[in-house]
Amino acid sequence: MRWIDLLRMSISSLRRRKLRTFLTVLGVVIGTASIVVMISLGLGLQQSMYEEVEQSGGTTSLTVTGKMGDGMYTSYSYGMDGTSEEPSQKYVTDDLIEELRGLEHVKSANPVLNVSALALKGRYIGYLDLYGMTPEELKLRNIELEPGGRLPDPDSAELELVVGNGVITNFYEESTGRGYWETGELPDIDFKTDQLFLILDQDAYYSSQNSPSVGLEENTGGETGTVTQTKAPKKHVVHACGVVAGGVDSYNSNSYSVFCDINVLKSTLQKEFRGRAIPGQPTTKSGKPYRQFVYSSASVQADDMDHVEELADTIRSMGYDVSTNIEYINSMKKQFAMVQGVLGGIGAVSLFVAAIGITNTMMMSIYERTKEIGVMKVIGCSLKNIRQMFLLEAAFIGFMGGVVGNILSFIMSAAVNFVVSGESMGVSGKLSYIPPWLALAALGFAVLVGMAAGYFPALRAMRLSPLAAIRNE
Amino acid sequence: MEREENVKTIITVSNLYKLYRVGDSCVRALDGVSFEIREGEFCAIVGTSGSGKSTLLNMLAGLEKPTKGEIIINGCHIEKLKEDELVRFRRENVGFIFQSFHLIGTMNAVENVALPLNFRGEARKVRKAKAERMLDLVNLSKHKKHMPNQMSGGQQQRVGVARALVTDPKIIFADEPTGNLDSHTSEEVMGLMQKVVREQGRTLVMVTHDDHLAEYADRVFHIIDGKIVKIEENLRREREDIKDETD
Repeated sequence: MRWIDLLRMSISSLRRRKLRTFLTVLGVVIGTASIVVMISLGLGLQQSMYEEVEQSGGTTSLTVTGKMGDGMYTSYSYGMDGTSEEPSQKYVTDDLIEELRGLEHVKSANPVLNVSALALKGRYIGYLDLYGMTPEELKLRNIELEPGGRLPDPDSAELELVVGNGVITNFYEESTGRGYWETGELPDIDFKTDQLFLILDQDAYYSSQNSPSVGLEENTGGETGTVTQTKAPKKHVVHACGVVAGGVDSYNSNSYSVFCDINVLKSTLQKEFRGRAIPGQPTTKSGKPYRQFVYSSASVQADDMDHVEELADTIRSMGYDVSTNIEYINSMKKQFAMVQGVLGGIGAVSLFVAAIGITNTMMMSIYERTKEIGVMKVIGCSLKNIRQMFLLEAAFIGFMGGVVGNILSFIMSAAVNFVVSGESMGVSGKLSYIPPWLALAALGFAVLVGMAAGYFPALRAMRLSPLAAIRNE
Repeated sequence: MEREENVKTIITVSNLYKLYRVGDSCVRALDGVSFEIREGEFCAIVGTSGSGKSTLLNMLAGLEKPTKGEIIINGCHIEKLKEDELVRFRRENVGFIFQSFHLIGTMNAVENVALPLNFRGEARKVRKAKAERMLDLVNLSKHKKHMPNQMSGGQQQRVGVARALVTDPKIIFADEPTGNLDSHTSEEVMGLMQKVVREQGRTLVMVTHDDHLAEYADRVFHIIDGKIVKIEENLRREREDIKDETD
C-alpha cells in the first residue's frame, strides 16, 4: 500500500469523526502549548541573561580582582575598602597588567578603577559610581550612547564623563534629602549641557559641611583615619561627553554607572590626595599609601571563549580572584536547565493527559471499525498496513495538535511579552522567548506522543481476528 | 472419471478436521473432509446451518486454522501459512463476496471496488479505471458515485461482486452471497455471478443453504455434520463450449 493512500485513508477516517477528532486534538493543543509556553519563559530569562552578559563584555572577558582579607569588599561593591593590611594581599597594579598581557590566550588586559564620588549641581547632590577605564576597554563595553555623545577623550586635562541613563535618579535635593524615588520628579539636570562639580574627597566634603549624610556611611567607613581634615575639598568642574542611551526606567548594565578615562581619573586623584592615602587605595600599616597605584580590577579579554576557563585558572594560580561571564553563564545555565525542566515537566503532564485522550479515541475508533478492519484484512490489507494506518491516524492527531499548539504558544508568548513589557523592571528583553528549535521540538514531540499513544490501539487493530468481523452482523 | 488435459486442480482438500471444544465435549465441525476443485469450476457447498459449511469456507480462505488435514490451493499449503502470509495470499489469489456485503460505509461504489487494489499499492488512476470497468460489468454504471446506504441490497451486492473481481483473482469465495437479498434479486445476482465466472473462467466456491441457488453451480457438495455426504454434478445447459465433466 502506498504512503499517500495510507495517509488519505487515515485522514478520511479522522474526518468522518470530526467532533471527536477535534476534542482529541484540542487536548494535544493544550498540552503542546503548555510545554512550549512554560519552556519559553525559562528561555526568555536565559535570553535576557545572555543579553546582559553580552552588554558587559561578552563571554570572553575575565575580571581579575586582588585578593583581600576576609570579609572585605571586592571591587564591584560600592566604595572599595582598603584598610586591610595583610602582607599576603594581591593588588591589581600596573605590574600585574603587564604580566597579564604576557599570558597565553590574552588578547588584551586593561585596568579598571572604580571610585565613588559626589556630584553637585545647583541644589542637587548626587552620588556617582565612577569607573575609570582605558579607551580600549570603554569601546569593548559597547556602551550605547545618546546621539551626539562620545567616549571620553584620554588626552583631555579635565575629567570627561559618560553618564548612565539612570544616574539622574541618584540625585536628590540637598536641603530636603528628597530625590526622584521620593518625589517622583526628575531633578532638573541635563547632563548633556550642564556642568557638574565633582567631589572625590567625600570625607572632606562631609566634614566641611559638618552634616553627616544619611545612607552613605558605608562609603566613608574605611577612612576614619583621615577624618581630621577640615579643609573644603576641591570641586572639579566636569561635564558629560556622552549619556547612555535609554530613558530613566530602561535598565541596562551601564545605567547606574559613570565612566571616565582611567588615566585622567588617576592623575586627578593623585593630584588631589597628594601625600595622603587616596580613598579606596590600600595603605600600609603606618597609614602610608601603598607603593604602587592599585586598581580596582583588571579586565582581561581572552582570545577565544574556549580558553577562558583555562586562563582563569592560570590567573587564579597567581593568587588573584577571577570572575568570568563563562562561569556565571555556566552556573546560570544549570539553574535555567532546572527551571526549564520543572516548567517543561508541568507542561508535559498536560501532554500526557492528552496522550491518554488519544489512546482512548483510537480505542473507540477501533471498536467502532472492527467490522471494517476485518473486511480489510479479508480482502487483502496486510497487517503492517493496518498498523500503519492507525499509527498514522494517531500521529496525525499529534501533528495537528502540535501545529495548532505552536500557533497558540506564539500568540500567548506575544501576549505575555506585551503585558510584561509595560512594567518590566530589571528584566531586559522578553519574558517569553520561543526559538525555532523549541517550536520544532514541540511539534516532533507531539507527533511522537501521538504515535506512542496510538501504538497499542494499532497493535490491537492489527491482531483483530478477521473472522470475527465477517461472522457477526 | 475422465478429465481433459487442460483442466487442472486448483483446490485440493484432504482429510480436513476441525474440532471445537465446547465445555467438556468436543464438537466436530469438520470431520474428515476431502475433495478437489478444478480450475474454472463453479462449486456450491450446501448444508444446513451448523453443518460446518461456513467453517470449511473460512478454512479455504485461510481465516481459520484446521485442526488437522491439508488444504492446497494453487500449489500452496494454506494451513501452514502465517497470518501475514495468508493476507498476502488472499490479496493475490482470492476474491471475497460476503453475505452482508461489507462495503465500507464511508466510501462510494468506485472507492469500495478499488479498495483491494489500494492494498496492492496500485496507483490511483489505475485503480479508478479498473474499478469503473468492473462496475460497468455488473451493470452499475449509473451508481459509481453512490454511497452504500444510497443503494439497494442487490446493488450493494453487485458492488461486492465487482470488488471481488477487480483484483483478477483465480478463486472467488462467496459466503451466502444472497442471504440478505429477496428471491428476485437473488436470482439476478446469482445470474450475474454465474455469467462472470463462466466468461472469465474463474473458480467460484459458494456456500449456501438454499438448494435452489445451488442449481446454478456446476458441482454441489452436500455437507451434513461436518461430512460431505453427496457430490452432485449439474449438467451445463447454457454453454456447450465448456467441457463436460463426468464423475
